[in-house]
Amino acid sequence: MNDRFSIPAFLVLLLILCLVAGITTGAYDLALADLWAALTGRATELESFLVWHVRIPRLLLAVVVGAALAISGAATQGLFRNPLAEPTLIGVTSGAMLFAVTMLVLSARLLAGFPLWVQQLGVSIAAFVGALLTTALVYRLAAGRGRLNVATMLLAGIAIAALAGAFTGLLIYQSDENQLRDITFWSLGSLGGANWTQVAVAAPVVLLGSYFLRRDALALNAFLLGEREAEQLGFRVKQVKRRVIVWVALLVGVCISLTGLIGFVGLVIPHLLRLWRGTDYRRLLLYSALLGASFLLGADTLARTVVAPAELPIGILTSLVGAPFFLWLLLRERRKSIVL
Amino acid sequence: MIRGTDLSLHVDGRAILDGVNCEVAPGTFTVVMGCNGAGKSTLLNRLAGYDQGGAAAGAVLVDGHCLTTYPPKVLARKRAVLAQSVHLGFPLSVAEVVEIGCYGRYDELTARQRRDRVRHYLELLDLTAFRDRSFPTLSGGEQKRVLLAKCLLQLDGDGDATGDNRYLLLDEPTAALDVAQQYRFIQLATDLTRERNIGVFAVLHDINLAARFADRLILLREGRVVAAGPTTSVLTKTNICTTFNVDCLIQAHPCFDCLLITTLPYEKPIHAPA
Repeated sequence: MNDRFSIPAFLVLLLILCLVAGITTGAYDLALADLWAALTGRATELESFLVWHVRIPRLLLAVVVGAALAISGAATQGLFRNPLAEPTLIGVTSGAMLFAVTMLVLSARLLAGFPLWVQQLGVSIAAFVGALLTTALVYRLAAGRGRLNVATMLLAGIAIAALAGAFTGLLIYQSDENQLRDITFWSLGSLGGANWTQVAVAAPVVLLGSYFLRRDALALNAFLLGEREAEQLGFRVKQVKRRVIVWVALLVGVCISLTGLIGFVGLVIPHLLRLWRGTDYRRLLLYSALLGASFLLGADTLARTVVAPAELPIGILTSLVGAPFFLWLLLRERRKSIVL
Repeated sequence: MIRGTDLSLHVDGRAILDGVNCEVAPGTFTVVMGCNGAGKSTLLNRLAGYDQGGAAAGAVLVDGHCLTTYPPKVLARKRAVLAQSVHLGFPLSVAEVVEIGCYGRYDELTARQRRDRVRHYLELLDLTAFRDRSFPTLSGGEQKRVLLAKCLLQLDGDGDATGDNRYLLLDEPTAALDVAQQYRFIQLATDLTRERNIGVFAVLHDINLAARFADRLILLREGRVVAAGPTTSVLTKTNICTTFNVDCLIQAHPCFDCLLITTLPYEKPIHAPA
């Protein structure tokens, strides 16, 4: 019964620990005293700048993106009643990738005279637009005669992803060495470009999205028993599906556009929590957000430190750390013969 | 009273239901029977208010008001549907599944009240020991009891404004249950619903289970009503033969105050013992 308080408390504590670890470690290590000095405005200019304009926005972006990816993954799995479902399946990722790559390849010609930040902004906007457009397309394909067939949506998502992948491949084939490098790094994800503007863009969307997804927690629970069950319990099934898909597309679209592709968070975090604390969506969404934030913070801190002063793309780390841990958990649970 | 008038459903030009009239009165147990594909589940889904696609005609009135005029949450408190089979997308505990029954009035209840209601219905259906078990690990009979608890909680009328008639629709509730479990489940369902004056509409396949428990019987064949009315008057040789395409022998039940029906395909006619 105390789970209701002890688990969130534990997750919040973990998040705080990850934040402190993230803010103090990196290419330039800060002692806790230096950190305190920087926060209270008594540090050197360099340290102040480092804390306020490099570390904090980056940590906040990690928190926001981690929470958004995990909560979107949890919601998508619930909607599709499928453990393998993640936002990739509704076309968000493939669309973002195609548009981002298009921009990366074309920006050399289109935005050649513009400063670097304009080019980066172009890629972000393209990725976001791509994410929403493909999701809308997949949704249209699956929504016929006033109903939304989630199985069709899943298959349409796979087909559209393949199609987008083919076009992306074509663009990659056309690109030069530099562009190839940009594309590769974009597809591995990074929080390296984090700044306050990005946080200011992402945070409100993610907060709103999390709030609205959380409001559909009861409907997502009812969905676990089947769509008919949700309908007979008085949920407006069609509207719930549309809301969840729109918010997931927005959340993931914003995240991808700012950080590139970061895999595994949306898939693993909800499962991990499910195996640990059960599926009830009233808790799962909140816990996913907290753990997703901690996970991405931890991964980013590692990404900044293991090969310092260089950085590893974070997507490599999330998979490298996440996958074996997930497998270990899966095998341990299999021994307890719990059905996933 | 749930009253279906002239219910029809055509899908791709084929009649699934064709001019069916039916009634479910509070406190009574109405059973619909028929061969596979006769339209039983379609009729149940129609009474439940599900959107089935196809060209539908006719009207369903629930306590005098058209089904479609009810706000979904209000309807959810008036009628519950126990689905034929439930496969959870992800495992939930037994208590969590039962609690889903009160989602229709989630905001009106405090967390403590919800817990109390769940506990009450778990006790009522002798499920307290399963409270924290994962639903998919239960046997078929236990799962059905959990779903019944959920439905009864959904129809639980304590202190709400819609405190009038309530209905429970059971879609082949005894499918995949062993002989003893089938009997126990229907006994339990009829007892609990009669106490609460809940009208029950059930799709059943076991003609003797229907003969024993049903107040009223509807026989369907190819989307049309063959016969409808009080169980004993509907269970005639002609009606059964027409509905199921079988020969049958009807006797007084040796143990209970009802009929006992033995069915056999037409190829092997049976004769009453001399």
